[in-house]
Amino acid sequence: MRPKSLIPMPTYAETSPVEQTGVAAPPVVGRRRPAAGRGWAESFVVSGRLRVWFVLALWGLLIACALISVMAGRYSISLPEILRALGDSVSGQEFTDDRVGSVLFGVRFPRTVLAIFVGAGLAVAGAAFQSVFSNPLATPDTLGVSAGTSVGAVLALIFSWNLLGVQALALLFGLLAMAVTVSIARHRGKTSIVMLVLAGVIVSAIANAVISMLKLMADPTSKLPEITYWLMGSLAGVSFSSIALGVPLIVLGTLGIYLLRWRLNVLALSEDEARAAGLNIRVLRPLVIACATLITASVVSMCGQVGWIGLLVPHCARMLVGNNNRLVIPVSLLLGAAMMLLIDTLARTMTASEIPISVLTALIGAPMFILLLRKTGGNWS
Amino acid sequence: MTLQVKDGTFRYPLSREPILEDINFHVEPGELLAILGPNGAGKTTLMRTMTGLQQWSSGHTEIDGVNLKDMSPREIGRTIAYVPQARSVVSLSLSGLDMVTIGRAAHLGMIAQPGPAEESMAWETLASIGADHLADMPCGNMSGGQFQMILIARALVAEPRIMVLDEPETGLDFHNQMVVLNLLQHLVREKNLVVVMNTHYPAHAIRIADKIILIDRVHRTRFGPVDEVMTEENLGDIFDVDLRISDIEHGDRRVPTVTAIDVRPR
Ligand SMILES: Nc1ncnc2c1ncn2[C@@H]1O[C@H](COP(=O)(O)OP(=O)(O)OP(=O)(O)O)[C@@H](O)[C@H]1O
Ligand SMILES: [Mg+2]
Repeated sequence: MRPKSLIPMPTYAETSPVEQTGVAAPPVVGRRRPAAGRGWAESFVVSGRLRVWFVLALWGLLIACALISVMAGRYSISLPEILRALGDSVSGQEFTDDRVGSVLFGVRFPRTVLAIFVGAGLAVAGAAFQSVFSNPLATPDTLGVSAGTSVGAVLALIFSWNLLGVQALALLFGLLAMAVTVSIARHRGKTSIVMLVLAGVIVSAIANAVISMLKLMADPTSKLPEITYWLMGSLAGVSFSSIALGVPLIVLGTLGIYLLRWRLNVLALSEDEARAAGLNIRVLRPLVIACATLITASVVSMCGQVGWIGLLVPHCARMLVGNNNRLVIPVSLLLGAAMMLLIDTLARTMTASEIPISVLTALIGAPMFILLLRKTGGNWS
Repeated sequence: MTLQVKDGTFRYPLSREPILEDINFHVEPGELLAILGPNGAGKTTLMRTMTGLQQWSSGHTEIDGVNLKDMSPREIGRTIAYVPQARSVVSLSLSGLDMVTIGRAAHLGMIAQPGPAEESMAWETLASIGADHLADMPCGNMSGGQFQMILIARALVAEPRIMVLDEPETGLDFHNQMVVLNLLQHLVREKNLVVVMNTHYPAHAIRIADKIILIDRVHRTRFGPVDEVMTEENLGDIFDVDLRISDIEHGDRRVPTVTAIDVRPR
């Protein structure tokens, strides 16, 4: 395709400034970007797009992780058994093996589906927060959004509200926490990286204190164990009906960010530059923040606090494909889903009783993050 | 498109004295306005206010008679390109080409992605200012001057009618300074753009500007055509420097120079 020609301009670099008397010089035509990829991520990216094999590899990884998640467990199920049960269910017959059928449809499938959406959503939310605040450390956890949403969710649990109520209250408190963090961190119209993280620490501390108070007031026989266990994060006990309530909100938030992914590059610039580029940042910034908070709130209300994914996965993605959010968002989405599947599978197979997700994400995530930090010197540019 | 500021007064919140008071000027298409003044005089403040990045306390900016306040962010983004003075590179930095492509944002829909057309525009713009070797370099690894060339390319690729540049040639080497000056002259003479620039080089202003705004240390301004305003006396006064303005002849060209002799006690 012939590129739309820009205002033709003389090749200044090729004319000696002294000789050049006027301004007329031949326009540049037909200089195209060479076929070579871009230096630091050359192997995965070619002229601004992900290489096909890389995309296929990511999907392959996700499918493999999903299969492992479905097959592995206290009761392991083989691939032919899965296929047979799927065939039975599609053709509407009785299950050939009743036990396989009920484990698959009652436990494994819902859990696998949830892990995919939770991982993808949290990773995308993290990447979005990092761009909006142009801060490599911004995540739902560090901004205090996770803790804030937890307050809302715990309150709703105490009131014995249903999942929709839990989500609504979690979202409300998440947005509130976000607003407090930003208003603490903003000084003279600017937010520094350190101020934002400090403000997040403060808001998290307040939120956690409130949660502790709520726990003290909660009924120690029924509510307290429920809250405590839920807070540590678990994908156990999900059903398709609870997925049907929670997942659409994750999808909504993720879709919003996915569609705006190129604009995130502009939002990550200074406020002046974003506005000079013609962005209505008064609309766009709150929109992206709302999408990311919606994802966080929905995840927290379904499976408690799942830390680290929002920090770790986007940074892995950036190491693979560079900082252009057009690529970082889709790669984070796929990697996040795969990672969550792996962690959840480990959580329920490593020991006889289930390990809380947040314990595992911290145990795996923190060392990985230290490795990343050491390797890049904390410099993602 | 005519850029006009009417009775513009601006004060920063919490400060009593206005930084800019009763500013009036207008620039027509095909004219270049240069703004000069000592550090802290209010040049950047004037640029940010007249382009709508911050609001006038009183008075307003008009583009072709339309108040800037009545234009949508997108419309403003398509009309005015702004090259900021801050050379700080944010973390999570893009490659040079991706950064230049951002200049197309005001021309693309909210959820649109830049395609091959945008990419080759960005590419050609970089090539036209001799900076195509920066296309694949992460902005965070660039030198100040290299990044400056990227920012200029980003403004160009937006195809603006008005271009506002805060010290565009500061920090550039001799060659790139000429590249940028020639480019601005070309945009004004051939493309009929309105160009407004801040500069700390009086000789550059005399060389390419048509109109001048001088701002002194106590924020008083003087607006007028270049040969009226850029006199040894005026420049000496606002910078507190003794200086000489002269021309160097080269063939049939006359290139202005401004030489500082010594500081004057303030
Ligand atoms: N956000 C702000 N709040 C209060 N005062 C400010 C703010 N930004 C700038 N100022 C003050 O306004 C004055 C003008 O600043 P401005 O940045 O416009 O100067 P300048 O002419 O661009 O200087 P330089 O040549 O150094 O770029 C300075 O005295 C500065 O201290
Ligand atoms: Mg300035």
